[in-house]
Amino acid sequence: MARVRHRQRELDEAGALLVVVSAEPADQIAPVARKEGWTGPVLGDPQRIAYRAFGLGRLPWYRVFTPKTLVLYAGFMLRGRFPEPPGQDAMQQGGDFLVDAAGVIRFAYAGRRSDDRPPVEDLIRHLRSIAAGPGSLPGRAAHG
Amino acid sequence: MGARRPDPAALLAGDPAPDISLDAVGGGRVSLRDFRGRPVLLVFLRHLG
Repeated sequence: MARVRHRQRELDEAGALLVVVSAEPADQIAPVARKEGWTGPVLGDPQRIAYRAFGLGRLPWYRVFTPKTLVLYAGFMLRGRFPEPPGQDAMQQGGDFLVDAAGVIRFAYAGRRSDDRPPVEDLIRHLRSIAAGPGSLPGRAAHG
Repeated sequence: MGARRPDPAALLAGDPAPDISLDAVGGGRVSLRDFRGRPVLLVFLRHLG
């Protein structure tokens, strides 16, 4: 989330609303939202209804515990932090979706690994395209 | 580069966003439809870090 929050001004300039969805119940998210300073809507989806509707499932273990993330996690643990908080699903897949004013998805990114997120530059670029109106949008990609 | 889909269930650019209602932090029930009228960046967290 920090990667997006650091670009909040650019999101605001593009007229975008940042909506966070978590697989935890809303009452459990509240303290984290306050601590992190999330000011936009924060939604709890403990039943994973929205996750499933957007096609986000559970990652296989080898896409969660990659060599890169194991090194990262070791660093967290040396600082006394749990990299995958107890009681939460470490295998949950994350993703980022840009939805335009009409409710159509204009950019979709389902993380393939635990550390896989789209570059924020891509999100900002697509947002600016949406703000610029039809005809300026990058084409729909055909990924298999 | 408008999308990437690791499995056939994932939505793609050009698909309509599903209309889902969820509990919001601070109380109340919020529908994704409530955000219509402006662009929305939906960030699905893996977990609360």
